[in-house]
Amino acid sequence: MARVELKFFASLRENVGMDSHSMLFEGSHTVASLLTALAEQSTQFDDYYSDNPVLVAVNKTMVEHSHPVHDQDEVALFPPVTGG
Amino acid sequence: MIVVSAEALQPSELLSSLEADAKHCGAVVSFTGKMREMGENNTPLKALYLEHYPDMTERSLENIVSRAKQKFHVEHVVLCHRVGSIYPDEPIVFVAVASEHRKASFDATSMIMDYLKNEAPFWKKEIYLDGTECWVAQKDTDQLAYKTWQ
Repeated sequence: MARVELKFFASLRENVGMDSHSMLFEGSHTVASLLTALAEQSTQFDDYYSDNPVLVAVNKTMVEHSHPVHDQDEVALFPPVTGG
Repeated sequence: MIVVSAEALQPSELLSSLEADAKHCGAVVSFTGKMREMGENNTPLKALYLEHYPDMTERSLENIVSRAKQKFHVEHVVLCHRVGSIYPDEPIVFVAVASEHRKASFDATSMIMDYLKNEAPFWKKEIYLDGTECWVAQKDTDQLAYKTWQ
């Protein structure tokens, strides 16, 4: 069994109603399959993910959705950035 | 120098600091992005709230500056960004670059801003005078500007 720490930011954080969430999974996962699994667990995330782009950083580096996810990874989910 | 700060930025002090470090350079370019009085939908703003992802933010800004230095062969860069609550007319971001000749400084400053707007984990929320709030969406023009550097 593997565990990842999910972190949520900005409008996504407000929509799912939490800053972070530990997620357990078995077998190998990519970011894409992790997001699909999360959408099955959380109606709020499913609603948001259906209508909005979600960017992902694994261990504080932005990655594509094809990126693999491993035990103890910190996986941050957020909308497109708007600094500057 | 890279700074992420909840305190007000002081562009003139930051510029002086860069100039003191780059006395041999023939060009200094700076950009200050300030908070507007009107929001995206032309509604008067009370404040902006800048959320960020601590640690990743600093790492991302360092990576952006490093690539700009490498691409344009510039040594001296200052990049500072506010977080937290910001009020009209306050600086949100400050970038300054010093180089031997002007083109490298102009181009590096421009590239840093275009990369920051697409890679650095900051999110703006507009807070209007009537108390309502809205997260700012990324602009297509910012994505297009980013792609011109790829």
